[in-house]
Amino acid sequence: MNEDPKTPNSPQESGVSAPAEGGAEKGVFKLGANGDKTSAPKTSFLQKLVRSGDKREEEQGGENQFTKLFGAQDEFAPADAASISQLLGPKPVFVQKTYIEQEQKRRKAAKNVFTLSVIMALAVYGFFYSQLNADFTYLGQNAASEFESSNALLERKQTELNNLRYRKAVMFLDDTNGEISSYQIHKDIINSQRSSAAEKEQAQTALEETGERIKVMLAQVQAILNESMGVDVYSPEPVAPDEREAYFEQLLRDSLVQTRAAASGSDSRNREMLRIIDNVIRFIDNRSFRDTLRMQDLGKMAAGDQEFDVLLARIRAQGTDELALINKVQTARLDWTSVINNIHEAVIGNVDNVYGRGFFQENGGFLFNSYGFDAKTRRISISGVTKTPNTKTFTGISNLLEAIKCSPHFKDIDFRSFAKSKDEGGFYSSSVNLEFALQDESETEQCDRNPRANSPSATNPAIDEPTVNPS
Amino acid sequence: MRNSVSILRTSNVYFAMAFVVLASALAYGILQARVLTNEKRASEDNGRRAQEKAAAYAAEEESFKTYSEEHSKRQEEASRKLVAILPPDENYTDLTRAIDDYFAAHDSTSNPMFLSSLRYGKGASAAVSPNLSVLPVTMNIEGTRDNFFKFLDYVRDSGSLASPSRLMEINSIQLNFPEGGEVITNPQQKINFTLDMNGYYLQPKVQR
Repeated sequence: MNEDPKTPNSPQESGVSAPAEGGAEKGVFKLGANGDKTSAPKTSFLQKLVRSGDKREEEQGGENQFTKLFGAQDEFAPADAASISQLLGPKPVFVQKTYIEQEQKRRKAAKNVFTLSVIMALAVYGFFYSQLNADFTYLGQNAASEFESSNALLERKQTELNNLRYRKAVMFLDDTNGEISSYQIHKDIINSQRSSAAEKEQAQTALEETGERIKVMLAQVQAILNESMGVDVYSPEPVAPDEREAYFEQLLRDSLVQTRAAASGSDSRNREMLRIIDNVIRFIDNRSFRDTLRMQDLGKMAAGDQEFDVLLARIRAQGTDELALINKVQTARLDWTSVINNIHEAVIGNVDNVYGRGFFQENGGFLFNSYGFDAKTRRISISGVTKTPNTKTFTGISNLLEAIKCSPHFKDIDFRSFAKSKDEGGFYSSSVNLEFALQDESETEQCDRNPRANSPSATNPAIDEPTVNPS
Repeated sequence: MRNSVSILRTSNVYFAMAFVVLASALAYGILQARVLTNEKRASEDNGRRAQEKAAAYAAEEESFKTYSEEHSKRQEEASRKLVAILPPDENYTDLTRAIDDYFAAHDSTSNPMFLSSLRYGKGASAAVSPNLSVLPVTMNIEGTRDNFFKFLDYVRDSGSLASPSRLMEINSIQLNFPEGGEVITNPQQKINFTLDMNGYYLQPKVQR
């Protein structure tokens, strides 16, 4: 067998095309059984036509129109008919085995390339998995775990800072509560009708100084509250500012609870720390109180203003448990001095402007012998006498009833039995036993009559001005 | 045997699959490389900011420690005052001594004040808070108008940290003027008055 694939093999072998002249392959084509020069190609129609003409020529003695015109021609020797194989060159040779081998090699190479690509893809995936999966710690800390650690570190540092700041804020509030007690005492002195002018002036100065100290401490608390509790941390999803604040609030709360759990022992330092931690937790939980403090315009407030007093009352109510309890009792209890003064105002302002000055025996008017006050029922009882130089004793009593009824501090007065007598001095006297109730500022009882218009003082100057006893 | 070679022959399929796998790996690698780079940058940024927070903490810690020590001293004193204002139990003996001290300090020849009787009831829960209890106190006093109102002020100011005294309130007052009716302009006018009061204390943790 010819081993050179480019030279033609025996006619029995086919499949490989031999290169034609010029070297270019013409492709595989069928050859005759022998494949040699002696193989006669098929006779075409034209050839048949020519041969039939030749037969006629032979029948006519070899003459045709051509020979008639041009004469007989020399006999020619038919050229050798070119065979297809001569025209096409050497027979191409197709070797199936070589083709298969080549195809197998190509397939093998393709498989290797595919395998290599899969290995590379797995390597890429494996590398990034090892770097970006925080749970993959077999090769030490990777980028993902480092990232998570840095996030946790930042949160921890911010929480520590919040812890420090809020403990400081609670301490400022504790000290503010301490100052509030002094502030209240100074205010009571200023408002008391029994304080002298000098005492009031001294109390006013002390009140202003205390108020300034309180404002300085509250300004410090505001500065802390105005700092954001949270810090921006890298996260897959965007976080709203409110959510961030709530998250760091919870971190701070958890940190304080842990500190509290770790603190033990009964010495005073630990007790104090536990108290502060409890107060900080309560302060964090009370968002409305924090917002109230944050929004106050301290610059516009002055000591003694109602707005300032309301703020201090709110702070005192949020104080430690004991201070809050004390505040509750102090707020609820009655100021009896004011109650007594209000009674005097009602009497002096409306029915007897010299009441309690010691002119009763000479001039008449009202004289009270006893008072009774009950905080539980909020009722007041007064016993006394009234004396008039004329017979209009009952008018005086009626005026007193109306004065008390129309007072913003009292209500529910009911007195329906009147009796009087005439004494040796010529005065008409009547006993007075009144009972009425305290009225809240929010209540207002309708009062149509003006007691002063019916005051007997208009007709009896004895009650308005002290004069000599008519007897 | 066919004349042309099929494009879907096995080797071509392998080459195509290899191309797809490599392209996917490349795309995946590019995306993940971006994530990796961003995470590294974020880690550095977090580290820098954590250092800033630590520096801020160190700066504030000093002033906090100083203030905390002073605050502790103030709170210790406040705690002592609170124990006097709201004792953990009835403690009527301390209250008796305090009342006696008050009357002794305010009794004088020109302005007398005399506590003729002092009576305590049994402690009970306070209506104002379940964490408080009240000790009923009844006093009969002979004094002057001036001393009467001073005592009212004493009770009004009780419970204040500024002048710590037992937290008290007056439930009822019965007063009468034994020498002819009320004279407002005479502070030395004699008054006899009976006070029904509450002395507060913290609700005991253990019920007796």
